Amino acid sequence: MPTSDYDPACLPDLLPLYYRRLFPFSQYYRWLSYGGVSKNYFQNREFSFTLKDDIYVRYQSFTTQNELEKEMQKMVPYKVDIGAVYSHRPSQHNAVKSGSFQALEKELVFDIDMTDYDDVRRCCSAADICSKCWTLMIIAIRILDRALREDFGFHHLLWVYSGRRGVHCWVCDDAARKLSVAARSAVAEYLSLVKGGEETLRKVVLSDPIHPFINHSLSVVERYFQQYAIVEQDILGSKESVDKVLALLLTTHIKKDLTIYYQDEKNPMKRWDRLCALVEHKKSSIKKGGQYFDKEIMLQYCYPRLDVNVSKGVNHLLKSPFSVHPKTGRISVPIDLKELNTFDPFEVPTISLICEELERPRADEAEEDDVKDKENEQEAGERRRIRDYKRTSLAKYVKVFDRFLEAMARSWKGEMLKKSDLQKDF
Amino acid sequence: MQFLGRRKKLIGNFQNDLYDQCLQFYGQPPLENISLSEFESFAVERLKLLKTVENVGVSCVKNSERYTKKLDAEISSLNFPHRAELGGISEYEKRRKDHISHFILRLAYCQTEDLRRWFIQQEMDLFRYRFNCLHSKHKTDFLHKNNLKYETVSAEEKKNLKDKLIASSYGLSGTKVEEHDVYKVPFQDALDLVRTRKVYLLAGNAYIPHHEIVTIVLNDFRTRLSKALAVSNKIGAHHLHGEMNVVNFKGRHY
Repeated sequence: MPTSDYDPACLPDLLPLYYRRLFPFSQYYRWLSYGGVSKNYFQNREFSFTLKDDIYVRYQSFTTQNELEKEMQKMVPYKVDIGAVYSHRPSQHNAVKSGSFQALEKELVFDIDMTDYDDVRRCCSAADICSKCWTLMIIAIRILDRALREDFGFHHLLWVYSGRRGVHCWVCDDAARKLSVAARSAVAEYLSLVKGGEETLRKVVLSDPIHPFINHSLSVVERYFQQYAIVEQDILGSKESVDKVLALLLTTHIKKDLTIYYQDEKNPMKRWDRLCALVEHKKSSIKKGGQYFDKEIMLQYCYPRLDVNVSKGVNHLLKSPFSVHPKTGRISVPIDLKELNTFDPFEVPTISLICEELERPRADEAEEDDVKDKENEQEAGERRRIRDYKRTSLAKYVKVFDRFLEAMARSWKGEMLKKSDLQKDF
Repeated sequence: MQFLGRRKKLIGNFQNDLYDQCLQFYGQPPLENISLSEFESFAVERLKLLKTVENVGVSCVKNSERYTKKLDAEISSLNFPHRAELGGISEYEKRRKDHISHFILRLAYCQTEDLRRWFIQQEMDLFRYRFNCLHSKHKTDFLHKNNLKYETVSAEEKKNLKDKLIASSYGLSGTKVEEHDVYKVPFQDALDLVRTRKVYLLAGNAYIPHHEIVTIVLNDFRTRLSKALAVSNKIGAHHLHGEMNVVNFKGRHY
């Protein structure tokens, strides 16, 4: 069992070690500086910390990577959130004339939380997740990633496991960071298909013509639906869950037919096939409406549920990548989309595991120390830290982050060249 | 008066930026000096024009063939520009009148909410009518000249995307896609269509059919004009009351 048992009571001892030797500060700083294309971008960024005993502090900001490190090592936050880039240094916001302190830019973010699917998942509820319902996150990532890239033209997306029950997406393109509140809200609405709260039975309504975005999303859902919903979630197994599905069909004669058919036919796959056949048959009849019941059901059970409010606000604070989840101990790690099918949230390292891996004897690295003793303390410290995380299960996730940064760095180079051309710097 | 000499020079460069198109956003106020009588006659004529626009809009369905024909006739008789083809001195004079008269009426109509609303509504209807009259190439020229990065989609791309375009846009048929222009607009400029998913998106661009691009341009026009009127009002257009017979002129409106 690769994961050491995590006990939240150990956090006060583990966090200092984590921030001193494992947190990838250099990559983190590189990310948030965005190549130095905009002056003071890092300095004007708001961070918020949740300290021991749930003390929450906002408007934290730092002038250098070193200052960020020192403060985090000193304050030892249980949670770290990232906010917007403001017009002034957040730590000095009180000194700014009222009204002048404004949130200017921030990544476009999405938060997919498993609890929002409680009405359609039978395996777990609330904060729990399992390998069965994890499929919902895979579906969400595939649908949203495609749409953000192909429809909206974004390129630099960082998907992160939240550490417990969901995933976050950070869209880091320059254009994304500059989006207005109205634009963010429009993007989130475009991506929303499941609407309505507890009182709403039928949360997805499709009508002709079907927008290409919906068709793309449907083809993703269709790939997973049978295995996920019919087999694993068994939505057509028990009477209770069958009733829930049938409640979404408005046409009484289809409902009647299925109720009778289901009395004899117990095989869920056959039950689903019958439902689809009836809907298909209805399609060819002249009357409109109800032609997409089967697609609506699939979408209601599988389509990503977004919280528009998270995405809308320019000043909204979201959990930082590489933050620790205090309840599970898991690190919020980047997700490699190339390996999405094999990503296992239960294999994500906990802070206890990686601290324990750190303490293991270093076999082949003793010689390197002698060579490095001429360096100054800070560089040596950094080298040590780079070697350190590489010895732990965190390494592969930092690599994913590195690749993400490399791809973005190419675009920063382009920006800097453009800027220097404009200023005639040669 | 400097006026005549300057006018000759301006006509000489017919490539004078400001009047090389029959339609404009009225971004720049006129800089020349004009006589008081020209001031008043311009204002009166434009007011007639806007009232005509209002009346035709009431008696015909807006943007219908009948509406367009009627406006065509009325605008020609009032000597305002509306079609791009013509050149020469008289067209230039019409455009100059159009420009100056718009700004004069701004002064009169910026002062109350009701006046602003009426003025903006008629100017928008007039703008929409004139924009729709433009040839496709002139439309694109106009957009580019006014820094609206809207490209028309090539025939080939239209063919490739035809089914997707029809499935995304309201009121779009195969024929319409083939015969009319489709514009590529950064999605940030078409948020209402994006929010309701009533447009096709690809690589960050919204593909807007001809009949909807004018809505987007109109929104832009309305925003600019609203802002400008608010500014005029602040600056104190009412200072001109006594001097410019604006009060009398307003009286004629009611």
